Amino acid sequence: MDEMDAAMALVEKWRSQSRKGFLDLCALSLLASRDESYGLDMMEALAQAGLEVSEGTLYPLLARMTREGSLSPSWTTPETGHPRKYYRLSPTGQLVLAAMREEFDRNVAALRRIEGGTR
Amino acid sequence: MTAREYLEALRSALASMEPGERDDFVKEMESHIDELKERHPEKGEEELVDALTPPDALAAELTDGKGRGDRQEAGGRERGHDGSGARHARGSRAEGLSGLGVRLRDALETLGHKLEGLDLDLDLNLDLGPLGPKEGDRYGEGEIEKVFPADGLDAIRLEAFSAEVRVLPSSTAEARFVARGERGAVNFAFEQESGELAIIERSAGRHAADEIRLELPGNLVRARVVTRSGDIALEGIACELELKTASGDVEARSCPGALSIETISGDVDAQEVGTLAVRTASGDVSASGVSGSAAARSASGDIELERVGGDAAGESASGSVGIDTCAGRAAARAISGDVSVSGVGGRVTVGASSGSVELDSSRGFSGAEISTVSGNVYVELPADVDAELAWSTVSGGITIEGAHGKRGSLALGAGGEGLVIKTASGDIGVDW
Repeated sequence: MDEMDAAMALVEKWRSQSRKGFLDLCALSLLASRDESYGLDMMEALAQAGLEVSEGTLYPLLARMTREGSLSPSWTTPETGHPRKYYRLSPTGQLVLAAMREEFDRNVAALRRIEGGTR
Repeated sequence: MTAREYLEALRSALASMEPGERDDFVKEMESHIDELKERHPEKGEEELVDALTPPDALAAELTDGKGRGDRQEAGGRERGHDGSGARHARGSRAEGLSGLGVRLRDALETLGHKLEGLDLDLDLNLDLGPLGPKEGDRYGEGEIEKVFPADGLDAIRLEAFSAEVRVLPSSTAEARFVARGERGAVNFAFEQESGELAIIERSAGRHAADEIRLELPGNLVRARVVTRSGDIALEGIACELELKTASGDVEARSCPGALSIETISGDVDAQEVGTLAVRTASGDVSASGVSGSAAARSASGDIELERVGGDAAGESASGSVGIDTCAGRAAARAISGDVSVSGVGGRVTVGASSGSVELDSSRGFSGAEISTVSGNVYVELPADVDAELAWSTVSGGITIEGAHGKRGSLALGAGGEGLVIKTASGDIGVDW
């Protein structure tokens, strides 16, 4: 049981470290794939894809990426219902996504090679 | 908490933020809550709001991100320098406790491999030396058969490559070994020393046997079978059994002795056995009818233990763990897999990380302790239960009749055995 305890603690630690940057990539990819979206809609789309993200993680992430210039938000107020804040990729965000995507693919390919080499 | 209270708490938690930005963020969370109310008309506002990340944690996450962003953008700009460290730490903690819902299956696969390396010392001992004929080898023209008197024979050890191995009781007072190769001669060495008979396959590949049949006499104390990829099937063997295989599956039926099984990727299926101890890296384990204790560990396989007379223990890193009907105590551990436990006579201990936990104690309850990080927990107790219930969660929801708050305790009936449930962000539900 000791190894399991240690493994569980390590995985949780690793998970919270590794997912931040990964979520940036996922949020950008999501917005690229659907042109524009708002918070709850993004949470659901991410959850459907298998990434459960709380609002406590997503909204601060969106706020940061807006501040950094990757996202362009705009408020819409429909005739009925409540206002919504829609996000779309800014031109900077599109460049950032392309570069992140390439970097990520490179890393995955490297991991595959490393695993293949030790077999 | 109502939406208004939540938004006000959030606003004051964001006091240090630039006012325009703060107003915008609070408005966005208001829109989020409105959207939730619209989509879940069946739920009350407070229920929806209580499920949200607490304002403090949300603010910590937000200012944490901002702190980092500013440092990146403006290098030496002095902004909350002494305070930002504290905020950072707070943000990380909030992340650790409430933001653990992300499932990265691949990562757990990697963990599985790690466990495989660290933990599962399978000692398969398949390095059988240089291949080729040796003194004492015995070739058969595609088939070899040998008979050994049972007298003085305590143990048999069989090591083979890819053959399907069947182990059965012998109808005579002899041990009988038959190996067949469909592609030509097979090559085995037989060594007998002080009560132990070793049968060792010498040729892999073209000269490897395809089928092995081993008949064991009733007086045998111990048998050990090792294969590389061949399946191992046993039926009606009473002696102590030790089975190891890299990728073969193991199937044991009606073996009332002690079974110890190790595989790397092979699955294990045991029915009506004495005691059972299984370790596997990625194989699934299914056991039904274990008269003594049953323990199974897997890095990524699923584990199912049914009808266990003694204690039952199941552990899997990324697979699921199920224990159904166990007379003794039950212990289950999983990291990302789900855990399901029912019909346990003794005490229950369950630990999970992101997997959910279901404990059905409706037929009897003798105490349980359950902890998860983000997994939900559901427990069913007998209607007339006497128990002492204690729960605590950081951000999960509580569905317990008569329970108030994220942390508390409650005596059911006359009180008695403890049911202790702890989660970080998982929901907790108890029915009786």
